[in-house]
Amino acid sequence: MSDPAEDDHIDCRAASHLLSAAQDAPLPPDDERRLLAHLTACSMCRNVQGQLGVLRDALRKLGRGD
Amino acid sequence: MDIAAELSSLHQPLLRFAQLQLRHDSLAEDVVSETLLAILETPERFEGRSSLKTYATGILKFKIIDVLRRRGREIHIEPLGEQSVEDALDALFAADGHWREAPPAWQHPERALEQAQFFDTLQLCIDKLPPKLARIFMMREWLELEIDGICGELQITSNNCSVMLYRARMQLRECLQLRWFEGAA
Repeated sequence: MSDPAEDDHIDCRAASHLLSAAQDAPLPPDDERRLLAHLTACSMCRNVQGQLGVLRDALRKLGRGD
Repeated sequence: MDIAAELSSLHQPLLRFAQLQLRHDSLAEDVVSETLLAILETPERFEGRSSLKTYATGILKFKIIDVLRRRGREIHIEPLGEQSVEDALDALFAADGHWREAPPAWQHPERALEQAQFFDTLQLCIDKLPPKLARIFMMREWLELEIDGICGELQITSNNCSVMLYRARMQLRECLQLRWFEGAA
Protein backbone atom coordinates (compact mmCIF):
# COMPACT_ATOMS: atom_id res chain seq x y z
CA MET A 1 0.00 0.00 0.00
CA SER A 2 1.43 3.38 -0.92
CA ASP A 3 1.99 6.03 1.68
CA PRO A 4 -0.39 9.00 1.05
CA ALA A 5 2.27 11.42 2.29
CA GLU A 6 4.66 10.03 -0.31
CA ASP A 7 2.04 10.56 -3.05
CA ASP A 8 1.73 14.18 -1.99
CA HIS A 9 5.40 14.90 -2.50
CA ILE A 10 6.21 17.51 -5.16
CA ASP A 11 9.52 19.14 -6.01
CA CYS A 12 10.29 22.86 -6.31
CA ARG A 13 9.70 22.85 -10.04
CA ALA A 14 6.15 21.52 -9.60
CA ALA A 15 5.57 23.81 -6.62
CA SER A 16 6.56 26.88 -8.65
CA HIS A 17 4.00 25.95 -11.31
CA LEU A 18 1.31 25.60 -8.67
CA LEU A 19 2.29 28.94 -7.09
CA SER A 20 1.81 30.64 -10.43
CA ALA A 21 -1.44 28.76 -11.20
CA ALA A 22 -2.81 29.72 -7.78
CA GLN A 23 -2.58 33.38 -8.82
CA ASP A 24 -5.00 32.76 -11.66
CA ALA A 25 -7.60 30.40 -10.21
CA PRO A 26 -8.24 28.38 -7.06
CA LEU A 27 -6.19 25.19 -7.17
CA PRO A 28 -7.90 21.79 -7.17
CA PRO A 29 -7.92 20.50 -3.54
CA ASP A 30 -5.28 17.81 -4.18
CA ASP A 31 -2.87 20.32 -5.71
CA GLU A 32 -3.53 22.79 -2.95
CA ARG A 33 -2.72 20.14 -0.33
CA ARG A 34 0.50 19.15 -2.12
CA LEU A 35 1.57 22.77 -2.44
CA LEU A 36 0.88 23.55 1.21
CA ALA A 37 2.80 20.46 2.29
CA HIS A 38 5.74 21.51 0.12
CA LEU A 39 5.69 25.12 1.35
CA THR A 40 5.72 23.97 4.95
CA ALA A 41 9.05 22.30 4.33
CA CYS A 42 10.64 24.57 1.69
CA SER A 43 11.69 28.12 2.57
CA MET A 44 12.93 28.77 -0.99
CA CYS A 45 9.46 28.20 -2.42
CA ARG A 46 7.95 30.30 0.37
CA ASN A 47 10.29 33.07 -0.79
CA VAL A 48 9.06 32.65 -4.35
CA GLN A 49 5.47 32.79 -3.10
CA GLY A 50 6.33 36.10 -1.44
CA GLN A 51 8.05 37.38 -4.58
CA LEU A 52 5.03 36.58 -6.74
CA GLY A 53 2.86 38.44 -4.24
CA VAL A 54 5.11 41.51 -4.52
CA LEU A 55 4.98 41.28 -8.31
CA ARG A 56 1.19 41.21 -8.25
CA ASP A 57 0.94 44.10 -5.78
CA ALA A 58 3.34 46.14 -7.91
CA LEU A 59 1.40 45.52 -11.13
CA ARG A 60 -1.93 46.30 -9.51
CA LYS A 61 -0.47 49.52 -8.14
CA LEU A 62 0.87 50.35 -11.60
CA GLY A 63 -2.56 49.53 -13.05
CA ARG A 64 -4.26 51.94 -10.69
CA GLY A 65 -1.85 54.63 -11.85
CA ASP A 66 -0.78 55.36 -8.26
CA MET B 1 -2.19 73.24 -12.79
CA ASP B 2 -5.52 73.13 -14.63
CA ILE B 3 -6.94 69.82 -15.77
CA ALA B 4 -5.85 70.24 -19.41
CA ALA B 5 -2.24 70.86 -18.40
CA GLU B 6 -2.33 67.96 -15.97
CA LEU B 7 -3.74 65.67 -18.65
CA SER B 8 -1.08 66.78 -21.05
CA SER B 9 1.59 65.64 -18.58
CA LEU B 10 -0.09 62.22 -18.44
CA HIS B 11 0.05 61.70 -22.19
CA GLN B 12 3.46 60.02 -22.28
CA PRO B 13 2.99 57.57 -19.38
CA LEU B 14 -0.45 56.56 -20.64
CA LEU B 15 0.90 56.13 -24.15
CA ARG B 16 3.66 53.88 -22.86
CA PHE B 17 1.12 51.62 -21.21
CA ALA B 18 -1.07 51.52 -24.27
CA GLN B 19 1.85 50.76 -26.61
CA LEU B 20 3.02 47.93 -24.42
CA GLN B 21 -0.41 46.42 -24.37
CA LEU B 22 -1.52 47.00 -27.95
CA ARG B 23 1.85 46.74 -29.72
CA HIS B 24 0.49 49.13 -32.29
CA ASP B 25 1.55 52.77 -32.23
CA SER B 26 -1.40 54.39 -33.94
CA LEU B 27 -3.98 52.33 -32.03
CA ALA B 28 -2.19 53.20 -28.80
CA GLU B 29 -2.23 56.88 -29.73
CA ASP B 30 -5.95 56.60 -30.52
CA VAL B 31 -6.95 55.07 -27.17
CA VAL B 32 -4.88 57.61 -25.24
CA SER B 33 -6.38 60.50 -27.21
CA GLU B 34 -9.89 59.11 -26.65
CA THR B 35 -9.17 58.79 -22.95
CA LEU B 36 -7.88 62.32 -22.56
CA LEU B 37 -10.71 63.71 -24.68
CA ALA B 38 -13.34 61.84 -22.65
CA ILE B 39 -12.01 63.46 -19.47
CA LEU B 40 -11.78 66.92 -21.03
CA GLU B 41 -15.34 66.70 -22.34
CA THR B 42 -16.81 65.79 -18.96
CA PRO B 43 -14.33 67.02 -16.34
CA GLU B 44 -17.16 67.12 -13.75
CA ARG B 45 -17.12 63.31 -13.69
CA PHE B 46 -13.69 63.42 -12.14
CA GLU B 47 -14.64 63.94 -8.55
CA GLY B 48 -11.15 64.11 -7.15
CA ARG B 49 -11.55 61.02 -4.99
CA SER B 50 -8.48 59.53 -6.68
CA SER B 51 -5.59 61.20 -8.48
CA LEU B 52 -6.23 62.28 -12.05
CA LYS B 53 -3.66 59.72 -13.18
CA THR B 54 -5.55 56.92 -11.42
CA TYR B 55 -8.81 58.12 -12.96
CA ALA B 56 -7.31 58.40 -16.46
CA THR B 57 -5.62 55.00 -16.16
CA GLY B 58 -8.96 53.42 -15.23
CA ILE B 59 -10.60 54.83 -18.35
CA LEU B 60 -7.63 53.86 -20.51
CA LYS B 61 -7.79 50.27 -19.27
CA PHE B 62 -11.39 49.90 -20.39
CA LYS B 63 -10.58 51.39 -23.78
CA ILE B 64 -7.63 49.02 -24.22
CA ILE B 65 -9.80 46.04 -23.26
CA ASP B 66 -12.38 47.15 -25.86
CA VAL B 67 -9.70 47.30 -28.57
CA LEU B 68 -8.28 43.92 -27.56
CA ARG B 69 -11.75 42.38 -27.71
CA ARG B 70 -12.46 43.92 -31.10
CA ARG B 71 -9.09 42.75 -32.41
CA GLY B 72 -9.11 39.46 -30.54
CA ARG B 73 -9.64 37.32 -33.58
CA GLU B 74 -6.96 39.13 -35.57
CA ILE B 75 -4.21 38.76 -33.00
CA HIS B 76 -2.02 35.80 -33.66
CA ILE B 77 -0.02 34.66 -30.70
CA GLU B 78 2.24 31.74 -31.41
CA PRO B 79 1.70 29.08 -28.78
CA LEU B 80 4.92 28.05 -27.11
CA GLY B 81 6.52 24.95 -28.49
CA GLU B 82 7.17 22.24 -25.93
CA GLN B 83 10.90 22.54 -26.41
CA SER B 84 11.06 26.25 -25.62
CA VAL B 85 9.04 25.68 -22.46
CA GLU B 86 11.37 22.94 -21.34
CA ASP B 87 14.46 25.04 -22.11
CA ALA B 88 13.18 27.90 -19.96
CA LEU B 89 12.42 25.62 -17.05
CA ASP B 90 15.72 23.79 -17.34
CA ALA B 91 17.58 27.01 -16.71
CA LEU B 92 15.88 27.48 -13.33
CA PHE B 93 15.93 23.98 -11.91
CA ALA B 94 18.44 21.21 -11.37
CA ALA B 95 17.68 17.74 -12.68
CA ASP B 96 16.23 16.73 -9.31
CA GLY B 97 13.60 19.50 -9.49
CA HIS B 98 15.26 21.77 -6.92
CA TRP B 99 16.10 25.43 -7.55
CA ARG B 100 19.50 25.78 -9.17
CA GLU B 101 19.95 29.05 -7.26
CA ALA B 102 18.06 29.42 -3.99
CA PRO B 103 15.51 32.25 -4.31
CA PRO B 104 16.07 34.63 -1.39
CA ALA B 105 13.40 36.50 0.58
CA TRP B 106 12.99 40.03 -0.77
CA GLN B 107 13.72 42.54 1.94
CA HIS B 108 11.30 45.42 2.56
CA PRO B 109 9.15 45.07 -0.57
CA GLU B 110 6.73 47.63 0.91
CA ARG B 111 9.48 50.26 0.64
CA ALA B 112 10.10 49.31 -2.99
CA LEU B 113 6.42 49.82 -3.79
CA GLU B 114 6.70 53.42 -2.61
CA GLN B 115 9.58 54.27 -4.95
CA ALA B 116 9.18 55.52 -8.50
CA GLN B 117 12.59 54.04 -9.36
CA PHE B 118 11.32 50.58 -8.48
CA PHE B 119 8.52 50.97 -11.00
CA ASP B 120 11.03 52.13 -13.61
CA THR B 121 12.97 48.94 -12.94
CA LEU B 122 9.79 46.87 -13.16
CA GLN B 123 8.96 48.51 -16.48
CA LEU B 124 12.47 47.74 -17.74
CA CYS B 125 12.01 44.09 -16.75
CA ILE B 126 8.63 43.91 -18.48
CA ASP B 127 10.14 45.47 -21.61
CA LYS B 128 12.77 42.71 -21.64
CA LEU B 129 10.17 39.94 -21.75
CA PRO B 130 9.44 38.39 -25.14
CA PRO B 131 6.53 40.46 -26.51
CA LYS B 132 3.96 37.68 -26.36
CA LEU B 133 4.76 36.96 -22.73
CA ALA B 134 4.65 40.66 -21.83
CA ARG B 135 1.32 40.97 -23.55
CA ILE B 136 -0.37 38.08 -21.79
CA PHE B 137 1.17 38.99 -18.46
CA MET B 138 -0.08 42.58 -18.69
CA MET B 139 -3.54 41.41 -19.76
CA ARG B 140 -3.68 39.31 -16.62
CA GLU B 141 -1.98 41.57 -14.10
CA TRP B 142 -2.46 45.09 -15.31
CA LEU B 143 -5.83 44.81 -17.04
CA GLU B 144 -6.85 42.18 -14.45
CA LEU B 145 -8.56 39.97 -17.04
CA GLU B 146 -9.38 36.41 -16.00
CA ILE B 147 -7.31 33.65 -17.55
CA ASP B 148 -10.27 32.10 -19.41
CA GLY B 149 -11.02 35.45 -20.99
CA ILE B 150 -7.41 35.92 -22.11
CA CYS B 151 -7.18 32.45 -23.66
CA GLY B 152 -10.51 32.96 -25.39
CA GLU B 153 -9.52 36.34 -26.79
CA LEU B 154 -6.17 35.09 -28.06
CA GLN B 155 -7.36 31.63 -29.08
CA ILE B 156 -4.75 29.72 -27.17
CA THR B 157 -5.35 26.83 -24.81
CA SER B 158 -5.62 27.57 -21.11
CA ASN B 159 -2.64 25.30 -20.53
CA ASN B 160 -0.48 27.32 -22.91
CA CYS B 161 -1.75 30.53 -21.34
CA SER B 162 -0.80 29.27 -17.87
CA VAL B 163 2.66 28.28 -19.06
CA MET B 164 3.20 31.71 -20.62
CA LEU B 165 2.11 33.44 -17.40
CA TYR B 166 4.39 31.15 -15.43
CA ARG B 167 7.36 31.97 -17.65
CA ALA B 168 6.64 35.69 -17.47
CA ARG B 169 6.41 35.59 -13.68
CA MET B 170 9.59 33.56 -13.30
CA GLN B 171 11.53 35.85 -15.62
CA LEU B 172 10.24 38.98 -13.92
CA ARG B 173 11.13 37.75 -10.45
CA GLU B 174 14.60 36.88 -11.69
CA CYS B 175 14.96 40.32 -13.26
CA LEU B 176 13.72 42.18 -10.16
CA GLN B 177 15.98 40.09 -7.98
CA LEU B 178 18.98 41.00 -10.09
CA ARG B 179 18.18 44.64 -10.78
CA TRP B 180 16.55 45.74 -7.57
CA PHE B 181 16.46 43.47 -4.56
CA GLU B 182 20.02 42.17 -4.75
CA GLY B 183 21.36 45.70 -4.47
CA ALA B 184 18.74 46.74 -1.90
CA ALA B 185 19.55 43.92 0.52
